[in-house]
Amino acid sequence: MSGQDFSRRSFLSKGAAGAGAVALAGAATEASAQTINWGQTADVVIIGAGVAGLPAAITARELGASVIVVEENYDIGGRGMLSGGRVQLGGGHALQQKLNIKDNPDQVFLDWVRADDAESRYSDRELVRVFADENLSAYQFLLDNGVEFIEKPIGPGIDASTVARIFVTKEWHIPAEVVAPRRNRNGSGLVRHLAASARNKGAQILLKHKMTRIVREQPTAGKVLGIEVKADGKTINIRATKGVIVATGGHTGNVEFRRMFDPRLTEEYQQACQPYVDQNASGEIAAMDIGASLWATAIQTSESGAAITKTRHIGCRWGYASLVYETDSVMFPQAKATGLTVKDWQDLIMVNQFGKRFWDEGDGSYRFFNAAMAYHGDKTKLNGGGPIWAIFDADGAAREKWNTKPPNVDPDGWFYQADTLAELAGRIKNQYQKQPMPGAALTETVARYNSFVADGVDKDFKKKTPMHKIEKPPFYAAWATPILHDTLTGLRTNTSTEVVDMRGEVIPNLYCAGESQGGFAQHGLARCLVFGRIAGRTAAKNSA
Amino acid sequence: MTADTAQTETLHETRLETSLAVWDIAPTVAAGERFSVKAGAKSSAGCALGRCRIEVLDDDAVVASGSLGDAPWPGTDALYWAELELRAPPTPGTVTFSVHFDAGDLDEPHQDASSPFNVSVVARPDHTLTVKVASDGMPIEEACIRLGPYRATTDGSGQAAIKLAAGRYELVVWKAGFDMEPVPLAIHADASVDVEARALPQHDPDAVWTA
Repeated sequence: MSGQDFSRRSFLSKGAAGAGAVALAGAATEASAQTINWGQTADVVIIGAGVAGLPAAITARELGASVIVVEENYDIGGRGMLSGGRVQLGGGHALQQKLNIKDNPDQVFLDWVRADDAESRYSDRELVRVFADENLSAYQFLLDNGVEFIEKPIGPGIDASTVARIFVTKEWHIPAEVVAPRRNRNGSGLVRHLAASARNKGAQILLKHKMTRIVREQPTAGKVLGIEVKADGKTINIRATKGVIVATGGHTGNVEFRRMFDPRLTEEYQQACQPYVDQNASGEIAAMDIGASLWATAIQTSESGAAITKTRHIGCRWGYASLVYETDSVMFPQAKATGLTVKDWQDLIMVNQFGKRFWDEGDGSYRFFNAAMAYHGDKTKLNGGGPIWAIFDADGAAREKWNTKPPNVDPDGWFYQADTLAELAGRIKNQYQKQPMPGAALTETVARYNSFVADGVDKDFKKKTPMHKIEKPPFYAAWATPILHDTLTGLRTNTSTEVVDMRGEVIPNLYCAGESQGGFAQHGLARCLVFGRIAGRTAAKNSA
Repeated sequence: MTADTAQTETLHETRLETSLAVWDIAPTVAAGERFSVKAGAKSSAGCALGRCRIEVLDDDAVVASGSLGDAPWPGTDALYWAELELRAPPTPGTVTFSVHFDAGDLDEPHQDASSPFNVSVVARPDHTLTVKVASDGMPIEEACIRLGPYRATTDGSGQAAIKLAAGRYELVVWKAGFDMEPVPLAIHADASVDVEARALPQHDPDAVWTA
């Protein structure tokens, strides 16, 4: 099928009928397009309706290709929906010119290959060069597809950019469609406009369709033929005559996968943007199953950028630095709490699962994360640092002006209150707290910290002039374990986004963009947008 | 194991745990002056501990005592508490006291409990230091002031008055989002000092970005 004239109803009925008849080749057998019962066909099939998948869909449609986008979530957007909407596209575009910001593609390239910046020094410079050269057209592409920017730049100085290059999209105008309304989730304005444009141009977006396999002619040889998806409990095969684009959004939420890069990242570390988005490595795994390789893996552990972030909204499961699900968010029933926003790290201490301090609470660098993930003496769990709890008292809560009741906190495993410190330690019950916190240890930790406050010197971790004792009941323990954010590397591609195998050979008809693509350590949206466009273009033009 | 020790262990196993909290301890107490602290006890079973005896010990000597009240401390489930008044030692220094809870003969047997706490005893204050904290002419409220053991917080006009003894100090001011260099001071009379707070260019992840 080359057109876009099918309806969702007809698609599903075909898929259901096809599912019963399909005997899809297993991983170890040879497949061909003729032997598989395809429930649906398009020129380009895109896995993921996020910041890479949507521009890929638009671009492919603009070039005349038929497009099916499968999205496992109930709605579009991926992590872009919950993003702050900060787009790092420069090169001297019209808005930069209007604000008299001097920039050009060469400067974009030089900034993002800086040797003195850990976020950029490990990147594949060939990818960065292409990224730089595509900045201007990508910016115009966004304007052409309805995206609007606030005419006020951020930076430079917060990433590798040496000129003001970050502009923020306007938040989507319908709060009920923002997922986390009123909390600066301007990325909603990016993905909603792109999705609307993709649909207007004829791309079919199939929600709640989960890709379970990428189908290749032979297990690790030949062309990619399409994908297998599950929807409504049924298995459906979707043929891609020109190519499959992996735009699944990264691996941060997959414990086994992320531990390939860093064995410390065990299950207690939650993923930012959950529960809306699961960065489950589905695209990477499916591609690696048929021979794909990873690329530039040093990026993931370069100890820079936002791969790991401090939990600033404590007392709930998914605290992160900025994302808050208010009570009217569609995600709130799962998130269960908004969290308590920390304004001053002097108002609390942080302890590990054994009730001991481990670092200066005011530090937000990777030194803090390394200390949090250090071995703390748990003989049953040698990797990972275990839960981290913020401990504070009634005075600390008053200084922060916190209301320590639901819906601000989640007392079902993520926030506790008690009359004494010893009692507080005993109350902590959490799926990642493998043994009870010793009450005597927490009491001793606080007593020692209080002595530092009296002396004005933190003799253990050099916290800058500890200011406040923790002594007035009631006492509180709030989940404050670091939370994982960016997937910074993934599948190896060439500059045309063709996925490459372990031998350096292109896997025909397989493309990748977004956070699942390896080689470019840039936080945020721009690299996803740029390489999403490239993937859509390359796939649509594929005549293989 | 003798019969006596077995009986003792059995008795011990049946006793409920008690934990303590001590709070409202002034940052500094003048040598020889009277001061008070609050102390509370919590039964692990949430039992009412009102009218139980609680003491403050200096080494083994009881220096203050009282009975826990019948109402828990506000905000707690069952922390029964008392305010205890005691006198600071005559010489400056850090003094460690201990609160002791006597479970006595409660209907539900409880363990006794003890908890140490420290008090910074200072020379009698002779002078008043007034600290004014501002940033670009704007007063900084709720900035924390420290001079050695002395502590205070600025009010709405950015000021704090601290009574302190003569001596040399380092004035440290803390307010999240600002940077202030420590100021060495020699106090030998009433004095005032202005502190300029430099606003740090902080990135607020929650800031709403609008045109």
